Formats: sequence, C-alpha cells, structure tokens
Amino acid sequence: MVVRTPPSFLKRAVIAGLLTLFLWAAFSLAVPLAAGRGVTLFGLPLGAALALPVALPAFVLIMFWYTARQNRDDERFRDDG
Amino acid sequence: MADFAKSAPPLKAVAERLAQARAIVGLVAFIVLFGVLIFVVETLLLLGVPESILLAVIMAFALAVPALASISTRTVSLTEFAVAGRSLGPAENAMAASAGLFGAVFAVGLAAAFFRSEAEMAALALGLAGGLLVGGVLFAPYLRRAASESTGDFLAARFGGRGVSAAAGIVVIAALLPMLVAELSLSGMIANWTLGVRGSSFIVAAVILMLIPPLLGGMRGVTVAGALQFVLLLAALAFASIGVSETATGHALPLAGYVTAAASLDTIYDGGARELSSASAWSFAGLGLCVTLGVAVFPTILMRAIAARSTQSARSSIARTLLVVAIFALASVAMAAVAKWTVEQSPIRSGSIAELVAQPWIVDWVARGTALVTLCGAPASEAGITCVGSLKPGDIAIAPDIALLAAPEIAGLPPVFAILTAAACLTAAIAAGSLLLLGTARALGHDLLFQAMAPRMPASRRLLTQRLALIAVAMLAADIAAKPSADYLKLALVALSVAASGLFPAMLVAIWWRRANGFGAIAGMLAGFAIAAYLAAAEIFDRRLFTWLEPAGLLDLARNLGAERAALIAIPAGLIVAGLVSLATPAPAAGQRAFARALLASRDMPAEDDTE
Repeated sequence: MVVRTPPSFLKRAVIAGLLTLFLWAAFSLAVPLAAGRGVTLFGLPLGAALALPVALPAFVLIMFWYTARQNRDDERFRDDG
Repeated sequence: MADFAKSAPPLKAVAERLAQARAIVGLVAFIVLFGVLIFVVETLLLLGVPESILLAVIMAFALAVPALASISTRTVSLTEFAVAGRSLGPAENAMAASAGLFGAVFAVGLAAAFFRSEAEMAALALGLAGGLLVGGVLFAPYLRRAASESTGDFLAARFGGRGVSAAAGIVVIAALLPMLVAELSLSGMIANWTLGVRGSSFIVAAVILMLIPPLLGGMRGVTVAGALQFVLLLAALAFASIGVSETATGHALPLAGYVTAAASLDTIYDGGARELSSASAWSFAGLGLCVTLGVAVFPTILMRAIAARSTQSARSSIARTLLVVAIFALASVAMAAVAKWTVEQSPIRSGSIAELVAQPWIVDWVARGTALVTLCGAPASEAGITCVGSLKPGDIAIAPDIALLAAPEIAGLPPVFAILTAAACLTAAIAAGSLLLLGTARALGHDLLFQAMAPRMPASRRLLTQRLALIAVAMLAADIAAKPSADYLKLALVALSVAASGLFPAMLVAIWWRRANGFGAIAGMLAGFAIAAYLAAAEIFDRRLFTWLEPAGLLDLARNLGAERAALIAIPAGLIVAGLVSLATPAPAAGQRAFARALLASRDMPAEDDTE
C-alpha cells in the first residue's frame, strides 16, 4: 500500500489541529483556575462566567470551524492522494 | 432500457434512501406520540389521577418504546452488528452519541457538581465538551479513515500482531465496565427516589432494557434506540430547564436563568465565601484535563465515529454531538443553579421553621429519604431541632445528587415537569448503558477472543461469541452495580481516567508518529493502564495498596492525585515508555509505515468487511 500525502494537506491539518488544541487548552485551564478568585464577569464569578456562557459556545464554534475546514480540504485533496 | 439502467441510482443507494425515509417517519411518529402522551398525562393530572400512576405510564413509554423499536434492527450480519454497515449519517450518529455519552451520570452529576462547587461543575462540563473537541481533532476521524471495526482493530492494523489488540481489549473493558456500573447504580438510585422501587430490583430491569438493542441489532439497534432516547432527553431537559428558569427567574432562556441565579448566589455568599485555594483550583484544573483526555479516547465515542459513512461524516457527527452535549450540560447546570438559588433563599423567605419544612417539595423529598433534605445539618424531618437563632441562607440543604430531579418541584412547577425529568434521566442511563454494553462486549468478543486468541474463527461464530459476551457483561455489571464499591460519579471519573491512561498514549503515537511500533504501543498502553488501575484499586478496593508507595515517598502524591486524576501521571509515563521502547526496537515494517501515511491522507481506506 503506497500512499502519497499532499504536503499542503498535512500542513493545513496540523496547523488547524494545533490552533484548535491551543484554544481548548486556554479555556480548559483558565476556567477552573479563575474560579473563586473574586473576579467577576457579567456579574458572575469569573470561573462560572467563563465555563458555560463563554467556553462551551467557544468549543462548539471551534469544532464546527475545524470540521468545515478539514472536510473541505479532504474533498479538495482527494484526487491528489 | 440500457440507458435507463445506466441512469438509475444503484440499488444500495435506493435502499439507504428508503431506510432513511423510514427512520424519519418513525422518529416523527415517536415525537407526535410522545407529545400526545404528555398532553394526556397533564389532563389526567388535572382530573386528579395519582401522580405515581402517571409517572409509571411515562416511564414505561420512555423506557420500553426505544427497546421495542430496536427489534426491527435485528441482524445476522457481523458488519451490521459491529459498525451498522458503516452507513450512519452525522445526524443519527450525533443523536445516539450524545445520549450515549451524556447518560444519566453527567445529567445528574453536573447538577450535583454545581451544588458542591462551580469549579467542579466547570471541570466536568469543559471536560466533556473539550474531550469531544480533542477527540474530533486528533483521533476519531482517523479510526474511520482506517475502516477499522474497533479501537483494538485499529491499533492491530497500524502496528500488527495480536498483542496490541489484546492489550487494547483489556484497557477498553477496564474503562467501560466502571462507567456501565455507574449508569446502572445511578439508575437504581433514581428509580428508588422517583418510583419508590428497590434500587437493586430496578437495576435488573434496567440491564434488560440496556441489553435488548445491542443484543438484537448491535450498533444499528443501539443507534435506533439511541435516537429515540435522545428525543426524550432533549425534550425533557428543554421543557424542564425552560420551565424552571422562567418560573424562578423570569427568563425563559435557561442560560439567562443560570446567569441570574449564579450572580444572585454570589451576592448571597458575599462574593468571597466560595474562594478556592490555589491547590483546589489546580486540582479541579487537573480533573478537567483528565475528563477531557478520557472523553477524547473514550471507546464509545470512537465506536460511533467508526460507524459513520465516511471520515467527513465522522467529523461532522462529533461536531453535532458536541453541540448537543453542550446544550444538555447547559440545561442541567441551569436547572441546578436556579434550584440552588431557590433553596438558599427559602430560609429567608420563610417566617418560621414550621413554615419552611411545610413547603411541598421538602415534604415530598423528606418522604423519599430522610437524609435527602437537611435543616441546620440534621434531617429536615427533625424540624430544625439543631437550628440556633434565626434562619439564614445555607440552613436548608439538599443532597447534591437530587438537584436535577428536584429542581422542577423546588421551582414550583407542575408535577409533569418532575415526571419528565425523572424519565429523561432514566432514559439517558439506558441509552448510555446500551452503548457501553456493546463496547465492552465487542472488546471482549472481537479484540480479545477473536483478534488475539482465535483469529480464524468464522464470522457466524464471532457474532454468536459477541452476543454471548453481551449477556455475560450485562450480568456481571448488574451484579456489581447492586453493591457498587464507590459513588457513581467517582466510578465514571475513574473510567475516563483509565481510558485516558491506557489508550491516549497508544492512540497518539499510532496516528501522529510514524516511527512508533507495536512494542512501543503495547508498552505505553500497559504502563499508563497499570498506573491508573493501581491507583483505582488502591482507592476503591483496598487502601492498604497505597502503602507500597511509602518507601518511594510517593504516598502523599498518590493520595492527593486520586484515581480520577491518575491520567495526569499515567499519560506522560505512557508516552515516554512508548517513545523509548519504539526507538529501542526495530522500526515498523514498510506496510505499517504506509498505513500510518495513509491515515493522514485525504482518502478513506477501503473496508475489508466480512461477507456473511
């Protein structure tokens, strides 16, 4: 089984993946560490405010963005494979 | 005639379209039937029919109809049983996946976590959502790209040999079984609180209901039942959360209700009363990370991706699953926040202890369990004999585990909302249990018995073996769940930790490092799994096992870490071991390197399914 991977496809996949993971890490660590620090956002403690109203929609948007981008690239590079 | 034959769509495509149309009609019919049932129940409640009878009717509908619907999916095809013919679209896959992942454990557990602390809730909610994100980016689509049948199958195809499949099978069983026990154990608790039946008796009924879809239709059966269970869960959580939020805060949008309630709670506590120490904050950050990594490689999520039509479909289904899980999490936490706010306020609003404990929801829940509602630290049934001075916020408290179930009553909603919430929780437990049962039985029957021990077993025998494995796993889980060794949430978190510890290193190197070989993968998997399994055994079964660590000075570290955070050590250890062993042993064969390259190409590999 010999498969040639288009370098541009792999590069895009890795960059999009790394960017997604960075954003996930930023939210995942910020929310619990911000909880109970006495800082407020929207009148809520920062951790509680970041957790549901901010981070969950952000994760969903990131996932849909990543999915759309990768699926489009899958289609574009399919014949090059 | 020849032209017509050329232009006609292939027979398979026509069959798929017909099946899709039939599924949509069935789903719509189910939704209409459910709506009519709710209307009838509401009317009967107004006419004075006892709540317990109507609760039983709704429960019977919610639990039995999905199981009955799965009868239509019975199959003798191994590919249908294992991966639903790799024909699931993103919508149906996401519906079944979200109900199967969220389950009762996270529906009830998230609300309970909010009652304990916002940081714990945040760790669980972000862990769930983040795990789907990481899994959708790093792992799940690649299992579908390889056209594998299971996690063990994928690793065996990438690395070759039987050992890796056996190791993966063991890890998968060790990860899924505690989660299955957690769902069963929680379903027994919910049935005890809401239906008044003994938990152990209901567990037997629950395990039968969980068993029917996978036993008859395998993955297809679990998907059909899961889609119906998803509808029930979504409808119930949506109605209940909107009702609770609207009644208590005046905001119909649960998110707005959550913000109002959480901000008001902050005022009640005067802002600083809930400040976390730095150690606790890091502890919750670690917990969130472990949940994330566990969900990312959790075998049921990977199984769902494998059953998708294509890699693109697998990605899309995970994105939709994430959206739905986020909505479920929001609904559950919003109900808990409003309930907590109402509970905290109730001592201030009540003029006296007698007036406080006479509230209908307190009377009702005290009757279900004396320890479920406490007043000044003692059971509320003792009418506040331990209270000193005037009542203040925090004097009345509920057991966190009943937060979601009691929220509609606490907010003062009509009984039909509480009935719906209870039915939704039990339905979610059955949905998750069916998928977990299938995953465990497939790991036992396919990865361990077939791939590792008897690779020449004929397809018909393999199907029989997996069905027998389903029954065996169901009986084992029911037996353990009747007397669980730990709290349901602890078991669920340990399950995620074991999955992360054992599978994350092997999956990461399998997909993203071409130099990794079978020796490294097995060593990394076993190293990570051993650490997580040891900490889980020491914490849950015998704490004396911790003393083995005393000479090395690691006792405090292990105790502070806990089994649910074991992955924080196990994953780095597994990755280091996998890397070192891979480098110290021969490079993978040419075929394995080509397989690794093909994983990152943009073309799906052809499936080599059995033709039975």
